[in-house]
Order: sequence, then structure tokens, then C-alpha cells
Amino acid sequence: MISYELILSTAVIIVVLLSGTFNLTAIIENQIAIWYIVPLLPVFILFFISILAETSRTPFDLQEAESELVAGFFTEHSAIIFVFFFLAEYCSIVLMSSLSAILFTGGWLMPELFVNDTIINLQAIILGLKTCFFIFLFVHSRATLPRIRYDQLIIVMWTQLLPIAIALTILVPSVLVAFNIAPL
Amino acid sequence: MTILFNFLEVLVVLVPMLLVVAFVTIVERKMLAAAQRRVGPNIVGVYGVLQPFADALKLVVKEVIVPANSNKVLFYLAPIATLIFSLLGWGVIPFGEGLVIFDFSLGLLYTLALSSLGIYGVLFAGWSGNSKYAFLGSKWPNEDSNDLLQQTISGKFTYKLLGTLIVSCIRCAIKVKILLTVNNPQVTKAFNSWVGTSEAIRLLSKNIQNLNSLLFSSLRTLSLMHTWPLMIEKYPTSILNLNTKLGFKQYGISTLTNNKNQDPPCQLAPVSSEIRALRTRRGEWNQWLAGLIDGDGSFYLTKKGYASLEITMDLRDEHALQIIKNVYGGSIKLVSNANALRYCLRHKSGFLSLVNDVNGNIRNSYRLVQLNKICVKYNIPLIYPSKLSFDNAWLAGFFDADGSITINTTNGQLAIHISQNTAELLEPLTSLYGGSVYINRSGPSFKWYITKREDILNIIKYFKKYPSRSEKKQRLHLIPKCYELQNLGAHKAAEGSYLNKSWQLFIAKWLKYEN
Repeated sequence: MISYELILSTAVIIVVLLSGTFNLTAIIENQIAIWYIVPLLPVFILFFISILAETSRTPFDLQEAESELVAGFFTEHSAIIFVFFFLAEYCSIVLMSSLSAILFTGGWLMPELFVNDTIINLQAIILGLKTCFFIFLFVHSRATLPRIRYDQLIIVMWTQLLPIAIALTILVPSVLVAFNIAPL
Repeated sequence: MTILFNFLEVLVVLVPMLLVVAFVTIVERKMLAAAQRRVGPNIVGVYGVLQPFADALKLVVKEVIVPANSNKVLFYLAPIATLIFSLLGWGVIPFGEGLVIFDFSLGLLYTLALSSLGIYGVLFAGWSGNSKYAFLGSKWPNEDSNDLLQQTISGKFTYKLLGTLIVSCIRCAIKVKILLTVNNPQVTKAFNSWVGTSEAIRLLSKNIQNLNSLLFSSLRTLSLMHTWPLMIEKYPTSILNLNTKLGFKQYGISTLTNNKNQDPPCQLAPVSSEIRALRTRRGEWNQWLAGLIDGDGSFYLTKKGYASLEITMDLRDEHALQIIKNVYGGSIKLVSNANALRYCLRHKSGFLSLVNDVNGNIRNSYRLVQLNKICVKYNIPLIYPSKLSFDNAWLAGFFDADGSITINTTNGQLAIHISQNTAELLEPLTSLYGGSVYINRSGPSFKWYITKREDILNIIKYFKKYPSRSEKKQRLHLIPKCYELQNLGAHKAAEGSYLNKSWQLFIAKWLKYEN
């Protein structure tokens, strides 16, 4: 659990270093010039892998490894309390998708063409569409990727992704300082 | 009214979210079906979109079964906690400009924190169900935070951290003590025992593998030993006096017993100039011998209660061993399969006089532990070493055991170094004699290295006062010559010149004393 939360938080820290704020609204407004997915594509990949693990989705769904355990940690839960688990799981998927939409693809930002002053607020719809795209990625990864073994998860996270993440935490602010564009 | 409004605000976000979740499930099922060339749910509603509602309805109507042996509170709490934690995250998500429940300035941190809290639901659920499968399910992905991580990372890491922390604590304590100059004996005692204990813990954690069997005896020794430097700051004169007094007394006893013994004692041995010098400078001899034993010797106590001392040295250092043999008796043997000699001291009187001589000068903690065992057996009070000073022959002995002098053939740099497995003995040397301690690249050992010319000349002065007794002294004698030649630039002189020739001659001489 710590293994992928480390990567998740490192990726988030890089976004914070680039935008200079923890406020989600401010992060979105900072992306008016360019979506963060463009300069931070490797960070986005790390982020996406770690949110797959965070929401315990394939290929990291070891908590509910159906073929090995009966149903995972909620084996004994049934009926309405099982619904709660079900809702929580998908709710966190949607939450994480919208978070990645906000952090990397500019949240409710849209091309000038669609900006209007009418009663119809397109912003929420735009955010929803972006979120939908990430949910699509989630489902697609479940459809295509096999589950990895526990030790593989640990090795990949600790020895491959974490060093990359840490290297990027050093690289991104260095570039910002070098070009004198670091946020205050 | 505002409360109602806030409540509505939250509801406006949460109800669509739960609906979204329902549709996400159908999207997922449809997509998986498409990926596997199936149709997927397509009966309920148009194109099967109402399938999740039908499923949810079925689940709600079902009977709730709670395992009899489960922890009921956690069993119900787990799903609720999980759902609440994942729904709370929506509080800071902006859906549009100003369309946010709470525009939190640390929103991102809040989201991260909530996502890590989600694991509690999983843990509660896995544990409370009292089912192996559920427990394994909750344990697997979290294993690295529970067992694995503790074993691999934090285990070693906290070990090291603890060590440095305690060391810094001690340094602090010493400083505070110096600042306060506490005169209250109770305070001093408390300080000493505290520092001593913590230092003992540090040393134990450092040598834990070797000391496992010796735990009880060594704990006492080490804790007392490391109280010593503090006490010496407090009562330096009194203790030094005590030390010398004891030394003289013991010397008297040892010569007396030697006379009675049939082994050739020092009096009967041919009185060489070396031994005469020894008698006049008994303290220096003791210090040198203790240094040598710290480096190359070891005390043994067999199960039969048979105590002995062994010192293993190079074949060329026979002279040094002969001197020791002349003083205490014992025997020298050739070590098979190695170019080494082993000095062995077994008979009781000689051994006891040696123990009395080196007692109080032994600084190596391993050796101290060995010595303590022997002291306990023969009922001798173990004396703990005082703080090392510049005018102490201990270094000469230690250098004879583990030191060496080398010249780098490429740049002609001269270096004196001493290798040890622990830095504990080497660190005090840096402040007294200069140089610095390095970690050896080839093995897990430390090296005290002096390369600076002033420091080396200083050391040579030291060795003039406290001579080295091994073959290493030959190279020590050559050092001034080396510097003289280097000042002339001989080591960089062109091939064929006389300077070069003299340098080559020097190197040949140097290599003759290879060790």
C-alpha cells in the first residue's frame, strides 16, 4: 500500500511543484496555457499506474484476487453492506479519474470556441467528458491486462517506478529554476 | 436555513455521483463484454442500461448474513467507512468555476489523505469477517506496509537512525555537562548512567551479532566503559593518579610472583638495553602492549577455565614477540600455512602479570569483553581505559599490529594507515593525530589514513618518543629520506638522471621492508 501511495504522492508533488499550489481550482487555472499532461507525460503515466493500484483495479487487484481468494476482503459481506463496498470502490474510481482530469488535462478548461455566457454551463460537462475518458482507460486496462503477482508489484513499484518518480521530482523543479519560471 | 442549504449542496453532488457509479458499472460490463466478444447485459432497459439498478435492488432486498464469530461493529463499520472516505473526496473537486463545495487551499493534500484512509475499510473488513480468505485479501496488498516493509526498510533504517540519534544525544549530553559543569554528584551519576546505557545500546546494536552470546557480561562492561570518558572530564587528575598507583602496585606484585615461578622471569633473562628501558618506562610499555593486543592479540578462556593470550604477527616481527616473551614467558610458534608467528602465553603467573599490565589500557571493545571474562575469573578489578591522549604509547602498539605505510608509486604520495573492522577505535585518532577515517572499498572495514606531510612528520616525532617495535619501524625511519628526495623532485625526475636513480634506489630499499 505504501509502495504505490509513495508514487502517487510523488507524482502529485511534481504537479504541485509546477503549479505552486495545493488548491485544485488554482491548479486548473494554471493550465490555461497548456495542460500539464503535455510537459508532464511521464509523471502522468506514473500517476495513472499508481491510481490503478490505489483503487485496486486490474492489474493490481490483489485485494480481490477472484481466482485465488473467494472474493477478496469482502468475502463475508453480503446484501446491502456489500452494496456499500461496491459503491465505494466505483466511487473512488470516478474520484481518481476526475482528479487526474483536473491535475493533468485541465479540469473544466475548454477551447475558446465553447465558452459562452448562456445558462448552459459547459464546464461541468467538459470535466465529465474528461473523467469519462479516464474511466475508459480504467476499464480498458481491466479488459486487457492480466493481474500481476504480489512480489512483482512490490519490485516494480520500489525498484523501477519510485526511482523514476524521485528523479522526476528533482528534474522538474531544476528545469523550472533553470529557466527562471518557478512559481513563487 | 443555511444548514439546509449546505445539506442540499452536498446532496446535489452526492446523488449524481452515486448515479454515475451505477452507470460506470454498466459501462464496465459492456466494455468487458465487447473486449471478450460477448453482448453483455442487454435485457433490462434500453441496451441494458438499467441493469445496475436491477442488481442493486436485488442486493438491497437480500437477507444480510453476518458471520457468528465476526466482530460485529467492525463488520458494519468497514463498508460504511470505505464509502464515506471515498465520498468525502468530492468535497474539494471543482466542477466548474466556483462550482465546488469547499474551495480548500490544501485540497490536493486532503484528497491524498482520504485516499490513504480508504485502506482502513479494507483492513477492518478483512479482519472482522473472521474468514481466512477475507483476511488474506486484506493482507496481501498491505503486506509491504505491515511485515515486509518493517523487515526490509524500517528495520535496518531505524537501526541506523537509532544509532546516530543516540550518538548525537550523547554529544549533546557531554556538551550540556561541560556547559553546566555540574557539581552535584547525584546529577553527575544520573547523567553518566544515562549516557552509559544509551551508548551501550548503540554499541550492542552495532555488534549485536557477535555479542549475542556475550550479552550479559558485555552489557555491563560496555556501559561502564563508556561512562569513563565522561568521568575523566570530571575528575581527570584523581583517576590518572589512581591509574598509575595501581600500575605500580601491580608491577610490584607481578615481579614478586615471577620470581617464585619456575618459568624464566624477566629478572633472569639477559638484561638487554631494551628491557632496561622497559623498566624505567613501565607505563609506556604497558600502553604499547595493550595497543598491540587490541590490534593483533586476543584473550581466550576455555570452558575448562583455561585462560590464555595469543598474539599473531608477521614472520618479520619476531623481535617484537621475543621482547614480550622475555618479559612474560610463554612460547612462539610458527603458524602453519602462513607467514606468521603466534605468541602464546598460558602459564598463570606470566599471564596474570600481563593482564595486570595491560588492564586499563585496552581500548578495543571486543578485547575488553574478553578481558572482562578473565578478570571475573581471577577476581581482578577491570579498569576501563581513560581517554586517549597524544602522549600515549598505545598508538605505537596499535600501529605495530594493524598499521602500514605505503607510497603511491604513481604520484609518490606517502600514507600511514591503520585498518579496523569498526571505526570506534579509529575516530579518536583523527582528532589527536590528524588524518581521517574512510570506509574501505574492498571490504566492510574502516581505514584511518594520514597523508598530510605535517601530520606524518608529527607522527614520526611521536614514534621517536614511543618507538615502534615491529619491522614497520624500518619504513618509519625511511620517511624523512623519502621527503628529502621528494623535495628535490626525485620522484618526478626524468628517466636516467641521477635524481631518478637515487629515487629508484630508495624505492628498492623501501620495497625490501614490504609488509
